[in-house]
Amino acid sequence: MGQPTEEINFLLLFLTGTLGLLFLASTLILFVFVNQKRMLSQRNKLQVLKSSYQQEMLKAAIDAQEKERKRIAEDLHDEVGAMLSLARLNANRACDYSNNETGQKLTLDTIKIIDDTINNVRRISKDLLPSTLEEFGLIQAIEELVTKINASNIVGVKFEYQGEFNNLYSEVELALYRVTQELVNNAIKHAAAEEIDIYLEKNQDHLTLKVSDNGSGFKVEEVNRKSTFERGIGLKNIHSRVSMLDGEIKYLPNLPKGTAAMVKLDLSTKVYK
Amino acid sequence: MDVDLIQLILTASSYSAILPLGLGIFNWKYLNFNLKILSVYLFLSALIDITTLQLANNLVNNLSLLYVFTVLEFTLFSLIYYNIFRPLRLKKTVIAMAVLFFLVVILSLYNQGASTYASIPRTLECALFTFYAITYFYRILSTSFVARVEKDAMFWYNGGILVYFAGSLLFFSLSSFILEHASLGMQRKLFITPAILNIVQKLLFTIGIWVSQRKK
Repeated sequence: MGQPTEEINFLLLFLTGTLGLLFLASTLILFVFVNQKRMLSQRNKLQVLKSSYQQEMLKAAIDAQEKERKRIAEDLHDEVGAMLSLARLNANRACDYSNNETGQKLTLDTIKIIDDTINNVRRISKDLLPSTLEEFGLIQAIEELVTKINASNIVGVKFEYQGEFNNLYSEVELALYRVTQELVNNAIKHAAAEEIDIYLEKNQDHLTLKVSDNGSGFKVEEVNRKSTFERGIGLKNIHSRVSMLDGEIKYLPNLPKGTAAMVKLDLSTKVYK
Repeated sequence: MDVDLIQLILTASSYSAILPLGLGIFNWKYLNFNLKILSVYLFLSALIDITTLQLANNLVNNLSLLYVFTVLEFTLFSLIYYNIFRPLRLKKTVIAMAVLFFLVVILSLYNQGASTYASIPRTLECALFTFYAITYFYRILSTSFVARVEKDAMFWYNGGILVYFAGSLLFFSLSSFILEHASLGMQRKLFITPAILNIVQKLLFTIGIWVSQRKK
């Protein structure tokens, strides 16, 4: 390789070979990089699809649950209620025809039992299908719920709200009502709370529902961390309804004692009529 | 002008390990075991590269140092690949290849002596590490075990390994021939190739250590 021409030829060959190998190496690295990016984007798209499918499933399940509640409530009211009224009427007549004192006392006891049962059936039917919600809206329905609980004299419930709530979708109203009902129920049943505050606020961008109590509370971080599948039925229902509305729920310690559940909905999505 | 540029590139290459080494030392406690081994390698690389450059500038034969560097580099990189390939049942391959490599080094030293260019061990080292890096990338493609490659330190490490060793394969395999037959001017020009690739490799190692630091 003494001649300059030979050296230049060698240099050219060497450079061609080296650049060829470098090109192969760089192509491989670039291919891996681009391919991984593409796969990540596909995986994300799949995740979005999966989550929207789950959302649809959840909505269908909740819709079915509400329809079933409505059917049971109507059956209880129309059929069981009517039959009980008829039974009461007959018992009244039996009382009139009864000649001895024991028979009359037994019939009067039966009438009292039928009256209690009619009241219970009405209550269950109303719990299953809050007619106030359909007729007068969310605020009146929550007020009715609060009045009913306060009448028991076991718990003191306060309800305050801010904003205009007339323009909500009926499915949003129902979901918020059920969430409130479940949170209040949890505070009474599990936290043994004596005071419960319900606060509802609606502004231009967000709707906030806050239910706080002075009960025994629970490990807030643990509940916030848990997935939907790890929670109990009550919490699972709350989360299902909130996620159906694309909202979020957080549990916070209600200092000095108790827990506060905060539900936030984005009004820019589907909360308006 | 040409000579100055070549000297500049060779000098930059010799000092190129300092940047990733500094980053490695600065973030030492956050580095995983593989990156700690890489930092040890960078320290030895900086030490030997600078010494080699000084010896070359003073016209002293530095080729025996290249043997020492090759053996150290191979050992440390093999250790990293032993850890990377442990879940793949390829660790025995890494051990077998290491035994083969050390045999070749001993044979090369016995036949040519330490004052000649370690052409055969360097070529074998290039081929092995190119194979290891390709295996690593193949594993990423086939199993997708790394979700975000740009945040994976080992992706950048293997990128550096592949670029340097695949690009230098031809140079190392022809190095004995070049040293024997090419003029001094041509030799200096040819030495630019591994020097530039060495700078690229160290930059990719720097990114690897940098992304690992961001994970802390």
